[in-house]
Amino acid sequence: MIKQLLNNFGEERTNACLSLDNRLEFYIAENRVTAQSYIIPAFEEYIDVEKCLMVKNTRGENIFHISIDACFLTQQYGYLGKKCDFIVFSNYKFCFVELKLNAQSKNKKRVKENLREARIQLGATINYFDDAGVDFSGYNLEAYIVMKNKLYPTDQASIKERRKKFFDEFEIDLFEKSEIEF
Amino acid sequence: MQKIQITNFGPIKKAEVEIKQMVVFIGEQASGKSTISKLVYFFKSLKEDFFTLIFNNLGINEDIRILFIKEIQLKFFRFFGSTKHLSSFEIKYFYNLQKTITLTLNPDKYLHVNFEINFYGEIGQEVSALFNAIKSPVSVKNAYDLIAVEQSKNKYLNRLKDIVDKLFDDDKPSLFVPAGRNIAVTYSEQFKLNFFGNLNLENEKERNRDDRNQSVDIHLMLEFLRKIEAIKEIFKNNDFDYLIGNELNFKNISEEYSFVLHKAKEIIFKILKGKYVHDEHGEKIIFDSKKRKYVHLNNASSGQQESIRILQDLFLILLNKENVFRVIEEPEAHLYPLAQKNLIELIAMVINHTESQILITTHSPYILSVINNLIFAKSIKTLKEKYPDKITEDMEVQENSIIEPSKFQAYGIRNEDEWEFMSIFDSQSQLIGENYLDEISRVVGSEFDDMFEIYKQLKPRSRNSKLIAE
Repeated sequence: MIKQLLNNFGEERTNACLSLDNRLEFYIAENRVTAQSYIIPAFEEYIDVEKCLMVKNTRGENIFHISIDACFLTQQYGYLGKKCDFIVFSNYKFCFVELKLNAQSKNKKRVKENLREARIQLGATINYFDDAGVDFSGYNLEAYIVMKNKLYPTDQASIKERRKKFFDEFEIDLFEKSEIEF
Repeated sequence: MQKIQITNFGPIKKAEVEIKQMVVFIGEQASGKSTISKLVYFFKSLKEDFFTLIFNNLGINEDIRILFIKEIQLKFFRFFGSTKHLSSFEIKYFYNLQKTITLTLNPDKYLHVNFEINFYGEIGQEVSALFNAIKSPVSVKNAYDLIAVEQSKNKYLNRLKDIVDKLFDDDKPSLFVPAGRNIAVTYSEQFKLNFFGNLNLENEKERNRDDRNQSVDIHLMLEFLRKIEAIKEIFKNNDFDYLIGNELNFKNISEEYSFVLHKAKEIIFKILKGKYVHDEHGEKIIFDSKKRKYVHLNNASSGQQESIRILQDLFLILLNKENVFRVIEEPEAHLYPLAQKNLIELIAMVINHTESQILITTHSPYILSVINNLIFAKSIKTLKEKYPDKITEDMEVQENSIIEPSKFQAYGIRNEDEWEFMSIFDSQSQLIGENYLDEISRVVGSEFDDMFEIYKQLKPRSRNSKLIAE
């Protein structure tokens, strides 16, 4: 996949936003100042896990991360549309991720709006990659909305409905959780 | 602290339950949670039976202890049916560490009632002194004498209650609020006459065995309906505001406490989605006071019918600062999750402002979640008090509804190879931990996941064909 991205989007653009890690467990967060996402390095002592996506890399493979927002998809490249925060992928799984961590669970309306906005951002990024001719065959495609979800029980009918609708539209499995397992 | 130990009774192989101020049982149907709650109620309400027994046998020279054993055997039969088919069991109730009553089966399958040696203590002398005082002749010469006699009767009754309460180390009147309680709203007056006529306790002995076998829960419902009649009387022409105002006028409660009662009233309003009124036209819920739109309680929703009596009862407990024991079966019945939350907050208020004990059986994940939040709020409150300089957001949980973890216990009952009964309240984290509802959530979730995988495989894809076309 990495070769394909380099070919399709150019080395300079891709490398500027690309990072990789092979730790068994690591976190991806968003830099508040630059709005770019980044892999939190091992030496970082304090990690606010509630504001990150956790990556579980059980096989210890190379996991690639590309910061989409404020790096890969910007005006610089003629892109003005909506976009998700980052993509993270291995040799067999490719995930689009949007962090929506500021949504307060007590504000139901805001949570709903945030979820809707996240789906639009994910969908727009998926369409961009599709339109750019990226060949995803052989890959498990997944999309993630990461939010502090402490609702109980975790099994909610509305999540299932959103998952099915999203799949019907984008052919990508949508998850609302803060952990990706490779 | 009171507790019950059960070995090999009904579906329960072994169980030990501490009766804290708030106890929750969660488990599948037919798992024994109802049996245990009925057993706890059985023992807790024995003091009322004992009181009635003494009162009804004041003139009889029989050993009250033997009569009481017979009463317990009869009550057990009413609650749990015949013991003939049961294998041996032991049920031991601790009124305190020293004072116990144990129920087992004789070899011929009759219920054996065993009191701890010192159970009665000095009660014999106290009761006989009371008997003598009542028996002593009183000459009535005029109306004042008559009033004096009546007053002394009340005094004796109160004295007798004190003796019985001391004997059982418990002064809380008990009530079982059974599932299907909306009958307490929908039954007609005619039905009420028949129901009370046919099922009152005096007739109990005359009913045949088949009738009795069917009356296990009806008996509890009957007791509940009796209580309801009293509650309805209190609310007749008196709404919640009037009752609070009345107590304030007579200075039975403080201004501060009246805020607690108003809070309780607001919660009740939220659950009922309107104002409860009992006027000359009957009971109704006014849902739009400006336009005087209302619905008669008989025609109200099942949720309103199912909850109204619990709400009234809880309000009166708070109003009178009563210390009571209640078993509430499935308080969530017919209620929207948000109303379930409100109801638990009201129960927590009762726990906070009285010494009452409330035992709940439930199937609702929301009830567990709400309780967890209310217990967690206690930790937050403690931390806030410890670090007053740290500025944080205010909690949404009302101070009145915070649950003190030491007052709470939860038990889960689930079926592995046999029914396993265990505490699901983690004393370290002070939260309700793993329970079977979480598991069900996972099971249902993974069932959807499995099907979704099939859906993904079956559904025609356009992405790859789009690429090929390009």
